[in-house]
Amino acid sequence: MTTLIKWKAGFSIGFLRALEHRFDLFAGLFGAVSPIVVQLFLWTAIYNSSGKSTEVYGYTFSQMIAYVIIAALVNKVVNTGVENVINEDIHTGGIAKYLIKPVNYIGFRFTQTTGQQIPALISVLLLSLTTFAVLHFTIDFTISPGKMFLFVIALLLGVILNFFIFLLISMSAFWITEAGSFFMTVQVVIMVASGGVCPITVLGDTFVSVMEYLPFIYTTYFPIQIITGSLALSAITYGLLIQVCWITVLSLFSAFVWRKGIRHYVAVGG
Amino acid sequence: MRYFLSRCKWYFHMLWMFAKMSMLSQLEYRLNFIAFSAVELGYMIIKLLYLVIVMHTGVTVGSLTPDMVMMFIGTYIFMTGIWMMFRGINELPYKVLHGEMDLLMTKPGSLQFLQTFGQFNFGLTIPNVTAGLILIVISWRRVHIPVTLINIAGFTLYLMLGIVLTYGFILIPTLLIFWVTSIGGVSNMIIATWELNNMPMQLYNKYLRAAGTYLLPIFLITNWPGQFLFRQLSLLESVWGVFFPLLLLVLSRIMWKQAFRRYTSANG
Amino acid sequence: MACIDVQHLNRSFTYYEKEAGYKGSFRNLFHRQRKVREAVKDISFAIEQGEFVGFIGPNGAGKTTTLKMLSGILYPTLGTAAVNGYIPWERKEPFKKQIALVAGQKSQLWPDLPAADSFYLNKCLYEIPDRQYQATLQELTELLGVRDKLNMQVRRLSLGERMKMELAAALLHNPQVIFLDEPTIGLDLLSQQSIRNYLKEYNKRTGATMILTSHYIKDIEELCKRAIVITNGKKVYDGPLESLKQYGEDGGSVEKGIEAIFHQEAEGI
Repeated sequence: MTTLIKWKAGFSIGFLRALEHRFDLFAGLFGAVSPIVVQLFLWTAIYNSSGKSTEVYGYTFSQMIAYVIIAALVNKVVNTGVENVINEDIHTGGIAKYLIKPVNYIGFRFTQTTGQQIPALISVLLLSLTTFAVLHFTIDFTISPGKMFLFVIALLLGVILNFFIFLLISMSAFWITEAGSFFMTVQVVIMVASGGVCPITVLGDTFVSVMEYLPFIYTTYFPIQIITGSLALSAITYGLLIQVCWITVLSLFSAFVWRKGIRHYVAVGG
Repeated sequence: MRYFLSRCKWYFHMLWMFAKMSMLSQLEYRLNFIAFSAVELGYMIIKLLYLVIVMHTGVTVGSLTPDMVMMFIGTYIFMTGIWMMFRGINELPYKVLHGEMDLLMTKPGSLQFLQTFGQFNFGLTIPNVTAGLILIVISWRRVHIPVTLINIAGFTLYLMLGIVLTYGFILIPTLLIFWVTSIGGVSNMIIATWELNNMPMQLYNKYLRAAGTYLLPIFLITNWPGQFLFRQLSLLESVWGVFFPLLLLVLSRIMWKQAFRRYTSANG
Repeated sequence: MACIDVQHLNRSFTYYEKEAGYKGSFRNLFHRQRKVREAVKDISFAIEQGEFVGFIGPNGAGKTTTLKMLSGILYPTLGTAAVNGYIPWERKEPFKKQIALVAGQKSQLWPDLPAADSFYLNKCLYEIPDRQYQATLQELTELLGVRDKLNMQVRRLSLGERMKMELAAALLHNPQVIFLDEPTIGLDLLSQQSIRNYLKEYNKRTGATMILTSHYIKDIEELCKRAIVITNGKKVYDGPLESLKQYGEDGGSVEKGIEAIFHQEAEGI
């Protein structure tokens, strides 16, 4: 019972902190508008020469526009930044104080991170609905409520998956002290590879076939595809299952790496 | 006149010293240097993605072929490197808020010069400037632009003016720290507008083009060198492209002086 | 003609008050409470060339603010001052070449490079001729005993060694007026003593005018013949250090004397 209370506390800390920084959230959203503007013009120019209903990289014009906007929104929700928090803890030795508390560190960070993302999730959903309405009236974009619901599920799973991916990445700091300096590069590369900027089909067929065996596209590309792509219900269910599978695999692997990492960290002197 | 020349010599000498010491300082930490380069290469992937899409789809942007678009994207990446170089400007808010400008204020020379050119971050600059120049050269050759004195001189001129504009463009909003306690939001806005330069301005509609040329002239930075080369600058645009950067320089100087009247140092 | 001449210097700071908690933040959105703090109130004094004067006062008393106005960092709200004939806050080039500021917690050396590089930078900055530079560098580093550490990265030096390098860097251009703001703060006793010896020697040799603020009574006692006591922004004592003793209860220590003066001031006598 007390564990539940503690985890709830972790959740609310993250939530409140995110609310305080709502201005930063706003400014950040504004910053996300710019690349969308560039892409809007770019894709309009590209589709103008080939025709609006033709497919470029496997997407029609309205699908592509929807993709670009939704991708920016999904990025805001799914990218937790937890790797920086954990790296900081490891670097400053602050992680030690969590080791002596009767709270599972990973569990604590998990609830705090998800709590932190909830305001972002809510604003993204609201923005998405507005976007869909606008797109519906301007470029004939349609979406069914059923798909919206599945989108939300996939988004939630995407957040969790992203958490474990970056948890693993941040644990490299146990062995390599300078790992943190390379996080930003890793973040950007993974974001692009997950379809966060444009559909991964842009990057070539070989690339797509390789990525299908990796967890990254299931944080960003898959949820977006539910909205924009022509995925059948079976394909969506399949995708959701894959998300769950990856989450299970990565969480187990994380626990394993964590144990090894902590042992090494403490042995080296922390 | 003699005095003016000797002052110029002093400033250039100090500039060289600051650049040299910044470079040596950074080389002491090779790993950091590599990490900086890695970060910029990461962001460069996104910038280059646009180029990849343009080359792959073969789309024409305004009156630009994909090979010509490469010139603009190359200039953009180059200028991003220049932006990253100005560590003095980026550190200004922190130093002002914590009253750390004191010592510098007692040193000879213009404070603006000492602070904004006193330290450079080359780790972030080098990958961008290199990649940018490579793209510029490749595009130059693919479009078969003659290598004449006029072309090189004009291109270099507008490139230099672009650097001047970049300096003013990031300095002026940063000076707002004297009036506001946190400029995180302002920073984000600067970055957001800067990113519009990822593609040549001919991609945008005429309203955005006009706004970005005359209202908030960011397009001058990355578009004028290329447009000069492709002879796509009107007389008005050519002149404006020289006049405005110099105007901005003067404005930034005025704003600097106004800002520092409000410097209160940290209390102690 | 006094080297440093201060007439009715005043400096006030405006700031905005913020109530604690959400209520305060909310209220601040609509109406901010403007407050004024008078850091320096009508201070006047004159210092002759070659004097070594100590500014004494509690934290926030205004001594550092006065020092900052004399070195040109801050403008006064009222009053004037002249240092070697120049108005400090105009920050003219000849003025800057004649003064030096040394602040205990602040550094002008490049941390990742050897001190020698920062020294050379100052040589170029102040346009010191080669011969003079070599001679001064030799003298300073020998006096301070850091000659062998010149080529070591500054961040690898101990706190005491770093401070000595800072001093050397600040004095390379043979300034005539030197402002020292807590130069020995945070240092070990040995370093404090060697810096004190150095400053005394420097003042004797070069005849430079020096103003020192410090919380360490020993600094003031050993170095300054004259003391200016500042509390609450006002000058409450200006005279020989020795004479401070008579204000104290036992009449034998400077420290007690200073305490007594603070006490008097606080009580409004």
